[in-house]
Order: sequence, then structure tokens, then C-alpha cells
Amino acid sequence: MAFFKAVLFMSLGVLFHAAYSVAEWRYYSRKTDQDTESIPWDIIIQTLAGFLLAMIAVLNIAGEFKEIRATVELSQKSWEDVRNRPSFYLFNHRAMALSPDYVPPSPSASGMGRSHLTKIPDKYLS
Amino acid sequence: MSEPELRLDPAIRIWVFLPIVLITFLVGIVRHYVSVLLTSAKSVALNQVMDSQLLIRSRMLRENAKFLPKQSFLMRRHHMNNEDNGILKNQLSRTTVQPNPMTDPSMMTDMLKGNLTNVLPMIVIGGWINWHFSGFVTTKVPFPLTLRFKPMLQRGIELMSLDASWVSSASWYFLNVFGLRSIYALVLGENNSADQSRVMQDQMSMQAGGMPQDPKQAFKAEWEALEVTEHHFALKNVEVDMMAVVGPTGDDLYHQNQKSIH
Amino acid sequence: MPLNPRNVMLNTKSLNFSRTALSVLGGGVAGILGLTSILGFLFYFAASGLLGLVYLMQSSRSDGMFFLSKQQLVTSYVFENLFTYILMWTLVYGCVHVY
Repeated sequence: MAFFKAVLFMSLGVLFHAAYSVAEWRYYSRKTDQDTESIPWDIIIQTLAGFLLAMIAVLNIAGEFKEIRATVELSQKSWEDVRNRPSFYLFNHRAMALSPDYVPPSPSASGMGRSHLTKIPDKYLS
Repeated sequence: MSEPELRLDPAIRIWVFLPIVLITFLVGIVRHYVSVLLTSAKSVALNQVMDSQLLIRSRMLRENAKFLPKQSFLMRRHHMNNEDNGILKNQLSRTTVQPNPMTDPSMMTDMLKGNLTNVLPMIVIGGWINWHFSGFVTTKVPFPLTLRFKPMLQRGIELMSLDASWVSSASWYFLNVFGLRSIYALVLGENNSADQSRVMQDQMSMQAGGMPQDPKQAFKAEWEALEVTEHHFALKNVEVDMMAVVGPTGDDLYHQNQKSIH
Repeated sequence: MPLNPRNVMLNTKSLNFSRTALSVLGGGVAGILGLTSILGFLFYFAASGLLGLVYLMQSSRSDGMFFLSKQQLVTSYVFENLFTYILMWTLVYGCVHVY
């Protein structure tokens, strides 16, 4: 895509150069009073080539068409994708402890105030 | 490719021709963003939504009747079209309040805002360009025009024999306004406010959106259409069709079972 | 037949983009070449028709169902972009030939 944008930019440069050369030719042909002479062939070919190049770039930038029948796109999915719902991904699970920035919750922060997970509270010790 | 008969000052090109293009383009973009800032969220009335949903429901029933068994379809149609308390019948006998554009304040402000942001800048800038850049020929349109267009396109230029193709700056401005509409659709995306043809369409469709007398007629049309729909059950033989695709028909299965019994 | 409305919108946007780009570039080329009156309009319609033909030829764009009718591929957006073509044509013609 970026390649075709560069191609489009280049073809705009080609067209601009052709326009400038036609303007110069017009200026000189007015000076020498050579009326009704057609534009030199190389400029015409350059213009048409620039136009063609630009159109090829535009067609590729515009991209491919997408199928509009709803069933075709659905039939290309496999059954394993049914369970995959990207909007319902969970990120708040145990693997956050593997991160280098993980800070374990401090005992004072939690409501219970327990020093260790395996410590049994006093009220259960008879 | 004959040469154009007049030769114009290059200063006009730099200081008039291209600036008008730039002005039109940039004003369009500014107008788009201003209208984005100024638009208020449109609130839809509840009963209008109810009406339109009811119409959609009856239309869905008509279109998909062939997938329902006959009993289900008749039940639904009875619920809608019933003489005593069918919901479509009820809407027909109801009196509607017409949202008059003149008295409804919210619609009035929307119309004013639409007019202000779209038509006013065009008129103001067109007038300014006509006043500022008047009295000289701006450009030549590449195609020949009839003499009828001369007074319209050559505002400040009083030359009788000048070809109608040589136009003034005001007409160049209007050509710009019309030509840049498509480019705005590319640059600003769809639904951009710089596109004035969209605004005129909105003004025309705002009358239809209010639907003063339309609910009654729409309901009556739906009622009649629902009355005349015939019910052809498209899934009538669907079991037999499927079994024909899958394997032996019912007759063969029966014989096999009979054979296994004996 | 069930349609995917998002893809319909994407397809029309893509078509709109390429047609508008065609009218802008075509206007530039017509101005450079100094085409006048009938030739200029013929050039625009020929280029639009050529673009439609290219769409029809390319197998990647005509194998599946991308539009509600093939004719829509070829003829949509032609007259909307005619004004843009005339604008660019006048602009480049004015810059190059008249000045």
C-alpha cells in the first residue's frame, strides 16, 4: 500500500513535469509565433504514461472488493472459530504474576489483614 | 489544438486563479469542522420510534410469511389486523399531532443552523469575490458556451464580442464549489457537511421525517397489504427433501425394518 | 438473500474513491493535452468506460458477488464526478495554456 502511494506521488510528479514542459513550449511557440502546431509527441506520451501509472496506483490503493453475500464469508470460517470472541477476552488472570512489574498485594491493603494465605484465622482455632 | 486567442497576465494566475481554489477548498473544510462542533444530538420522539418499529414488524411478517407455518402466520396476522383490537387497526383510529416545522422549536433551530453553516458562507464569499476580483477575465473554460450564458458568467466584463468561454472570477468560484464536492467526500469521509447537495436533500427529507399525515396512510397501506398476503408455506416438504438428499427414502427404510423383524 | 451491509459500504467507498481519483487525474491530463470541448468530454467518458472495463476484466474483481448488479460497477458515480473533471480540466488548462 505504501509502495503504491509512492508510485502515485511519483506519477503526480511526472504529470507536473509534463504540464510545466507544455507551459514552456507554449511560451516559446508564442514568442516565435508558431501557431496551431500540436504539442510535441514526447510530452503527449509522457502525459499518458503518467496518467496510466497514476491510475494503476489508484486502483491498488482503492483495494480489493469484499464479498457482499453474508453467507460466503461465514462459510469460510471453521468451527473452531465459533468459540473465539475477541470482545470477550480476559486479561485479569493468574498470568499477571509472571510480569516483571507485578507487585503482590500487601497484607495491610487487603481487607482481612492476613499475613499469609495459609495462616488460619484465630476464630477457627479452638 | 489551436491556441486560445487571448493571452492573460500571469499575475492573474498567481493572485486570482489559484487563491480562489485554495479559498474554496479551505473554507469548505472549516465549514465542515464548524458544523461538527455546532450540531446538537438529534433526539427522536418515542411514539415516532414506536410507529416505525410497528411498520417494520408488519413488513417483516409479510416478507417472511413463507417460513412460518400457516397457523402461526394467521395468528400473527390476526393480532395485527383484528377488527376489535388489532394493533394496526388501533393506530388507524388514533389522532396524530402534526409537528409543524414553524412551531416546533428544535426543528427550527436545526434548520437555521443548517442554513447558516452551509448557504451563508457560500453567498458571503461569492459576493466578496465578485466585489474584489471584478473587472477582468479570469480564465477560459475549455468548452464552448452559448451566448445565453454570457451575462451570467461575465459579470464585470462589458465586452460584446468576447467569447462566452472567457469567464469572470465569480463563475470560477461557483465552478469550484460544485467541483470540490466530490473531493470533500474523499478527504473528509462520508457524511461531511461541506457537501451542500446533501444539505438540500436533508431539507427536502425533513418534511418526510416529521410524517404529519403519513402515519395514518402508512398504517392503512400496511393493513391492506397484510390482508391480501397469501400464505405459501415454503418449508412444506422439507423433511422429505432432506431425506432424499441424505439416503434411502422412507419406503426403503420401512422394508429394511420389516426384514429385520421377520 | 442476506447481505453484509458493511461490505456493501466498503465496496461503494472503494469505487467512489477510484472514480473520483479518475476524474481528478483525467481532468489534469485533459488540461495538459489542451483538449477542448467535445474531445474533453469524450476523453472523460472514454476513461470512465475504460475503468469499468478494467473492473470487469480483472478476475479478482468480478469472480465473486461484490455489487448488486454488474452494471452498477461500470456506471455509478460517473455524473457526480463530471463536475470535478470539468473543474480540474479548467484549472490545468488555465494554468498551462492560457497563461
